[in-house]
Amino acid sequence: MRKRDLPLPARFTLGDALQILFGLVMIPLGAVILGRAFIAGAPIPAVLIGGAFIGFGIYRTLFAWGRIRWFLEAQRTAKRD
Amino acid sequence: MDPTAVNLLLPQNTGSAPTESPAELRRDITVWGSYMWGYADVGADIYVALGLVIGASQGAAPLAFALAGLVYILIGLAYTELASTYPVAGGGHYYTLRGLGDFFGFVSGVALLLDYTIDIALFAVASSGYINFFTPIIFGGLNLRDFAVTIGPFVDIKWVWLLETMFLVGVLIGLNIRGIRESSLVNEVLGGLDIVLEMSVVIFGFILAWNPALLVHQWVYEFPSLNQFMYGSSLAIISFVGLESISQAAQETRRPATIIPRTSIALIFTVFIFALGFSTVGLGILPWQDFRAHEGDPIAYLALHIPLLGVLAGPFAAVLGASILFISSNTGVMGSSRLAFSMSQLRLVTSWLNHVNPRFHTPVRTILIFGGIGAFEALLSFLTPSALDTLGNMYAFGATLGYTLVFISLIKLRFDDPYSPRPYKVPGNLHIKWKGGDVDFPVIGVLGMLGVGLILFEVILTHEIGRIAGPAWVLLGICYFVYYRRKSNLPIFRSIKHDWEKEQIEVLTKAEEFEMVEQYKSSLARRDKQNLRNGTGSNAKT
Repeated sequence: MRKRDLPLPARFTLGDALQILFGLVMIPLGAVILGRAFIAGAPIPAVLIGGAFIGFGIYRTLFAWGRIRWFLEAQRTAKRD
Repeated sequence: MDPTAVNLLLPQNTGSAPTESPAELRRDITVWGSYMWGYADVGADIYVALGLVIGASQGAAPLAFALAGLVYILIGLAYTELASTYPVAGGGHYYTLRGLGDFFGFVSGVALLLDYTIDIALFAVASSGYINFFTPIIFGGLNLRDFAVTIGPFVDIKWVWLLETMFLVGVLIGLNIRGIRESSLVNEVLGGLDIVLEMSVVIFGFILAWNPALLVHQWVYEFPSLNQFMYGSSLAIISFVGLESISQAAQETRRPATIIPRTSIALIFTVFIFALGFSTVGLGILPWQDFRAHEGDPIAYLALHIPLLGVLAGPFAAVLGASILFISSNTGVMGSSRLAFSMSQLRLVTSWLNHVNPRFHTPVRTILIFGGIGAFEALLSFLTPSALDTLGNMYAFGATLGYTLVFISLIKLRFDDPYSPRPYKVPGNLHIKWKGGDVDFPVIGVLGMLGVGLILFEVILTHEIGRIAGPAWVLLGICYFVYYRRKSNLPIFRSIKHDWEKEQIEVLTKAEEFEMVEQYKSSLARRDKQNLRNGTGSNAKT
């Protein structure tokens, strides 16, 4: 979805901060799962879970990063006006 | 926890039955996209489902969650398309009514009402289960949930647990009649704590306690039979309910058509990954038999076994689980009132249900009726070997029936209403010509319909109680529908005429989706021009 299609965020809440932290934490967690899984002979469910945590953690982090940038831009624009 | 949970502990200040939120209450967009999902990602359902699914699917529980989860993703994508196209709070029954007409809209509503009443019962039972986590500590090793009695053919009735459940349901009914509402702050604090706890259990569980060799051992040597696996994977769908909240969010958020798709997809995948994460970490820490033995408090029991943190995490999880499940049980009470109101607006049920008590200003009739049904269902469930299992059966039936109808509606609406702008479409479409126009046939939508249909089939095949009680409930509902429509001189199998185009414009205008309104009007104008050229006149759908 292109930037101009999404409305600019108006607020940054504690819920948003938790969601962003949540996404960030998923990446090292996935790495830990993968690491321990490979030591134990790489059982498929564990490898898939580890990979899923890393992949989705990266997606959420990039999404959050984009939204934070727009929020800061919206704040700067509001201050100028 | 369903974010539509209406609040307790503050005086209710409305003089009318629960209605759609007025346009002026639409919420601003936050950085993450929707304030409502601060805690809904991994909600109350896992507190109940984890023990049930591992108990049934044994060493293959992650696979059961994965298969149910894949179907859930497709259901979620369907809800995302429908919620962003039709941003009203009606949810599954509204989409079904739009797509398949009044009769099937009613059937979908009845399936949803079943789930709301089971919601009341199931989460009250589960909340009591987590409260019982503390009873061995208080009563010197005695767990109140183990107190049982045999009456005639009914063996091992856990009467203390039953009484606790009845008490909780009674409190909920009383609070809702009085109009006592919780503050949204309480909701948000609990939700935030829930996210932190669930993340902690998964993260520290994997880091400090997880033994992949135990997971592998159970996968290889404790793999269930096909029947058990089908039973477990059909139960796993109860971890993934709460999709109705997407349509609720669509009504209550500004610019829902543009914000809901992105955030709901993030929500759906997060729930999926965490359900898998819980089952994987659980089977790497404890044998599956322990989860079956602790089906009343699986998350607290799992948290207790995390080194260093367990002594605090276990009790904390029990308190949080009991609280969140109690609030989720309340969702069933308010959800059934809201749904009954919506169905009466669409002339599917009597408006008698919407009477507001002049003293308390609450819809006392729906609260008493559906709260009473929930209490009755809880009572009956304790006459079976496992109350949670029985209620989970029923929940799975209602959910899968409702979702099947939503998928069929999604496909039909692509044909019947190709003009409504769809800011999000379920991917994987075949572009075809249909009656002189262009239609995107949803191939993945069909796969989703087959997937949820398969789970519904598994429910009917393997759930002894669900396959009888579920259809019986729907049949009873249909008998009422026939009676009500006949009495009101309304058609039974045909639909009442609606001006859907006018309604769609109103809905999109209220949602501040002005670009979509213009897009819609242009599409309709092009269609009308085309029809005039072809000499077929206006094609307006009613």
